[in-house]
Amino acid sequence: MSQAAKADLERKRRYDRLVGAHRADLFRYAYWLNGDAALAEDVVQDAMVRAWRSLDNLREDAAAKPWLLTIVRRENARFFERKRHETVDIDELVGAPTLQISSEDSTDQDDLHKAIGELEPDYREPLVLQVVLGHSTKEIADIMGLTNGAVLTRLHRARKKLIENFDLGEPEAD
Amino acid sequence: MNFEAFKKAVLAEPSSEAPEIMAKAASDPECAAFLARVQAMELKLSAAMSVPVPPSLTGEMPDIEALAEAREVGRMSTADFKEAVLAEPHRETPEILEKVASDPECAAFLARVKAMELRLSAAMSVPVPPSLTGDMPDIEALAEAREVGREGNVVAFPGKPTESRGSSMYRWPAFASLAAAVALVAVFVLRPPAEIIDPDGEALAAEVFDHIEHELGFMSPASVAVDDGMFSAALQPAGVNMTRNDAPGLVSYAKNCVIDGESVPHLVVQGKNGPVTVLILPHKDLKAPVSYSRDGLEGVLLPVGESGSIAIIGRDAASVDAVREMADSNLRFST
Repeated sequence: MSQAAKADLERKRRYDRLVGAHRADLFRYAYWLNGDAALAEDVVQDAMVRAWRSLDNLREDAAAKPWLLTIVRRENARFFERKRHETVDIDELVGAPTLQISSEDSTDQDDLHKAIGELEPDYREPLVLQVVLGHSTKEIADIMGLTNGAVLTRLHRARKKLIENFDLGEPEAD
Repeated sequence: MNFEAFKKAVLAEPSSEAPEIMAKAASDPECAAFLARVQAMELKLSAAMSVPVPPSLTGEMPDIEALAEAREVGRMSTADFKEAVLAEPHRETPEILEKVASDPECAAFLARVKAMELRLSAAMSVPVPPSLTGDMPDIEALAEAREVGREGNVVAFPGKPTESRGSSMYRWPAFASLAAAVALVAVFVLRPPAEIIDPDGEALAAEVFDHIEHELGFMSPASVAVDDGMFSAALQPAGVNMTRNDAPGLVSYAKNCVIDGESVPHLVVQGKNGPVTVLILPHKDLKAPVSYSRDGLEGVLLPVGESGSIAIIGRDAASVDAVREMADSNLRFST
């Protein structure tokens, strides 16, 4: 095998290892950015291709996840800019076959799903980064280009709105 | 100094005895009368503004420690507590812990928010489509199919969000997943403990503890199990095939994580003595079981199969042992 072929193989292995581990998270992030499972799948696949083409720009493997999330974020924005796609009406999403999550208590789950979807995108994005992807406040701030304080404010307001708009069995948040 | 300038200066500082003021008052009766009226007004103003001082702020100085206890200055208020908890439900700062320990209302609020988090996490963990799970696609074929970044390329776009993307969506060949299923048939079983020290095991345990300390909030009592879709989505990226029935208890949380570059299923299992975190580490070999404790957490790492291991971490040894017993007797999983 030539040196070039070896380097190419190694590059592909690195790509598979770094991207493969994060695809589920990337999809869920994209889904909660645009509210559309099919569009999120498209966005992630395009993001995967962009990641492949710019893999050499990623110097540290440990930084792969935030790097990929940033690519997905940009790709999602690019989709909307390119297509001038209208904002998805979250009402259309509830009951869509691909979005049925739990076999138990599905109505309740759908209602919560809808309540999350009705959050303003500015509130929903840090919530998915924290709740689903497990990022710290600082990491969310870096990904979204915000201060820590702004992230905390958005997270607090997001949950407060969910409590107000959806019966989560919570006391009123002051 | 003219009269207007004099009035301005006097109204700004009625008690000023600046030479210009005094000279003007001495030489100009109108200015002298104005100054007298303003100074009389000052006396009335001073009297009116001198509100009575409450007894607690007069007399002897109070015991400052008793005052500090009573006033709670610098302590987190209930409103601040709720705001902090709603922003970061799993963050356990000293202030949060102190408030929880001293205020039952806040403790109850935190418990309810954590319960809400489980529901929120379940609702947000949408199923991942088949094209984004399992084996990685051939990236060059995907790039060819997606045509990303090519100028002028317009991928067909549906009018409705849930319609098929048609030719724009890359689906890797069905035989790829079939081949993966055929290849991944080796059944791993727990190996008996060996009497040797494994320094790498200590390092791995430390790494596992580092990982879970950011997700401790999910290790809470819960009665709602994750559904099969979420469960398999947590396991699939690691190439682990296992059903919820194989788990040593109700699985209330399931997520795919990455440790040291490897995909790792992260589960929270409701054991008979309390919730524990179980990490399945298919690529982390251990020579022997490793016990580890840190920051109020107890854990054990057990060798599994030929080249894997599992980590069980709980808030006390009893909760870990309960799940470990079940794992020892029941756990079988294949990759």
